[in-house]
Amino acid sequence: MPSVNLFSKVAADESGALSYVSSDNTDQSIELRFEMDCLLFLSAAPHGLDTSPSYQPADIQLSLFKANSLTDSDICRDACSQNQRAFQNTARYYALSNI
Amino acid sequence: MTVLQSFEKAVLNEVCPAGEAWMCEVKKGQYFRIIDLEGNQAVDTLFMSAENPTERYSAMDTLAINQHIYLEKGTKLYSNFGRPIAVIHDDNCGRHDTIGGACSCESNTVRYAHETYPMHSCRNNFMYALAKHPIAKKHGLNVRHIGPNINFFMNVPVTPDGQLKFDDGISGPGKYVEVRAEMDLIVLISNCPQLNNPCNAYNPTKIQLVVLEAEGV
Repeated sequence: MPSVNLFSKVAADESGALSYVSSDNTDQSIELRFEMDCLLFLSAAPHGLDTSPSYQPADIQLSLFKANSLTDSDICRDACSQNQRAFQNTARYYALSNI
Repeated sequence: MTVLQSFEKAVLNEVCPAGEAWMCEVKKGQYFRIIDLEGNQAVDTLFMSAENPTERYSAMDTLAINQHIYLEKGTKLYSNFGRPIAVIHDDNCGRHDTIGGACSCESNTVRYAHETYPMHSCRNNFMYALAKHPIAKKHGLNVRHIGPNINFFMNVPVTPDGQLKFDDGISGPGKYVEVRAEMDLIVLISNCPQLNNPCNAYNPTKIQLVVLEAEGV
């Protein structure tokens, strides 16, 4: 199953060639809000295209906490109409599965 | 008028109507050619190992190992076990996509409008073939065998800032792509019925499918 590679940037040039863009991600963070009940698997290994000559996996910190309720305006849901329709699909899914 | 291409060493030579699903088996070393008979037709394609269908085409492995996002003449297609599953042996279209995925009822509602839900889609085609086709039954295939696919003849350029564009096709009438099977393969195709973007020029059309004998046979 394809995975998401958080903190890893891979860029494509105009011909389609892919290259890993290395960066220092020390103390960077990303926060995801879950819209569905999920199982989460992760592997804290360096990216497969990382060209570093040394293998240096690093520790990560993980926190799970309760998200605030959605308000009338939400940056994720309302960023574009595609997101709004996707959120509507999720709402319908839970409405139907709770009957 | 549609012109079918003819071949001396064809072991299979069929036409898949516009918008339909299609399956076949290809032996290791044989060549499998898809012909875009009328042009601008996206062909959503999955390859699986006939010996062990849990081994199948992997878009992610193919992108990462080739370090290239477009599929072109000479590109090796890799399986989820990291082995070559097929090679693009011949091609006169230029490049093909493996990032855009297959259209589904669900993705159509998100990308276009909720009203598009009942429209024909590639995922529905895949599911129908996996439920009904004799080749799917023979190999015990089901919906879990659907993975990220190849979109032959589809033009999905990636811009330098990372935007995906579903552009008008670069294919034309009679353009073809031919892969050589590196293992015994099951081929599952959805001749894309999408009407909400220009991947089929808003006019899905039929394709010709040919299996040619291996060299020296």
